[in-house]
Amino acid sequence: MKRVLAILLGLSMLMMLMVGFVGPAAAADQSITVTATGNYLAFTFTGGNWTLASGGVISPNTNYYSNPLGEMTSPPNPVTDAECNHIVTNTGNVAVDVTVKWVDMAGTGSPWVNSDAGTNGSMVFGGKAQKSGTNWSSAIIAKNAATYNTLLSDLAAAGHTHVVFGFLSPTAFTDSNSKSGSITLTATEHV
Amino acid sequence: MSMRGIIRACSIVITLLVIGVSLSPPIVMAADQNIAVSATPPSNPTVDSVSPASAKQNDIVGFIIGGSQLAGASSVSFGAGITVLDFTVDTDIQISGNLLVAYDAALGLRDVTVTNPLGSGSKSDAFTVLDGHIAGYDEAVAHNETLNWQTETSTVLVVVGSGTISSALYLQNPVPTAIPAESIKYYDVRCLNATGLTSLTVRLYYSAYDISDLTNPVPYFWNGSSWIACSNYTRHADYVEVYIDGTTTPTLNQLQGTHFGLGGVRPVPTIAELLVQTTIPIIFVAILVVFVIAVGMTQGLLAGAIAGALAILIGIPILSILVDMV
Repeated sequence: MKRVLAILLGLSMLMMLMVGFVGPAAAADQSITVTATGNYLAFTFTGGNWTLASGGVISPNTNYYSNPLGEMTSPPNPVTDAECNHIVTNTGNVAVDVTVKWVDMAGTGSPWVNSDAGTNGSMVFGGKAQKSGTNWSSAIIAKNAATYNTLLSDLAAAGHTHVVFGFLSPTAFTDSNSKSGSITLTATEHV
Repeated sequence: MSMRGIIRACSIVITLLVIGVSLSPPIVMAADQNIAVSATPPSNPTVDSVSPASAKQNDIVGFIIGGSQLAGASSVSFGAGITVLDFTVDTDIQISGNLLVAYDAALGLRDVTVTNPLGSGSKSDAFTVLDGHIAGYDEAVAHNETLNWQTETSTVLVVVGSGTISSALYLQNPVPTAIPAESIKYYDVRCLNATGLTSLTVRLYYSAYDISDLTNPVPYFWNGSSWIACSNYTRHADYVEVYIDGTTTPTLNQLQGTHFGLGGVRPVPTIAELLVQTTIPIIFVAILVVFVIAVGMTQGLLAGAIAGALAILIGIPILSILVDMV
């Protein structure tokens, strides 16, 4: 009978521990230290916003570049750092791939639609991007619709790359209102 | 194991379980960065300058327009009576092209207008049409008849069929390109709508003064870029007759402000003519020299000097007359 009571008492205490109650004098704790580091993605993007023609009027059917040496100057083959207005720096702790997206340019009146092909048309513009060290002639298309093209692949942690964008203006405009949009760079862990 | 030992073991297991849950690492799946892009499209064009500032009736001239926001221009206008034949948008601030001023365009100032998809821009009184019919000008609605305008425009036109025919006379070459011959005279013959015409025979008259010493006059017509010899023509005493129909050069349909020019050939002297031209003066001078020497030897030095002076005074005019005669 005593042994049966002892077993019942032990089971009762175990159940109490499982619901988080332990009597102060019921047990002694042991602690261990476990260290773990999570994958952290972050990057910076310098160069500021891009106001074409310095806020003046752009010409139809004309290429513009975010090129510090001249907005009408096509970057060479290969593109050099000096002709890239923007720098992408990986401030995370893992290598990343960076894709580029360029939304339609909107404002009062009709928007300028991204052709998603790098070409232009009436009220349709083309967007391109390229990184330093590669030919502008093979610049990737900055699309509005998924799937987005990869601008940078396997950018190492703490690494950086200069990038430049190209804008092919519409061939014709139906209004003279200013339009604005945004270019979005998205970094994902390089697999 | 005692009951106390069992309890302690269970407590460690539970604690480790709790710690394990709290160690899940923070994972960021993606990070974004944006830059804003903005741009302003062109609005109405502006016209600041036009060159040249004028042209004559019947002229085809090149022009250059300066302004702003000219890119994308869809039309260029110089006003009534002026046809813009072609134009090119060179840059956002310049357009170049060619225009034709109608033979009957009203004289005076014109506004020059450029239109792009967003609107139009003009410069008032930027271009002037000048009188291009310097000497004479005639126009008539003709039907199977002969238009005798020899007095006014030095032309006679034999019209077969029906059409509105006009003719003018220029005092000089109306285009900057020289005719491929010694020029004699310039005319204008026009029939803007040749639908009812079967043929047109144009007699281009000239005077002895016009042709001077030129021979073999050839009629040319201006095709807009160069002088082309007419294909069907005959020469007469004081005119050249040019026959024009749908198959000739020019054709009736090319009589759209067409300039005609007569060119001649300056004759090359024959060997006999060259000998006569050179021999007679030499013989004349030789006679004078012999005369002076003979007088000097027979009558003395003073008489010889006087004879020489007389030979120069009288001989030079006579020699000039002889040269002109031969």
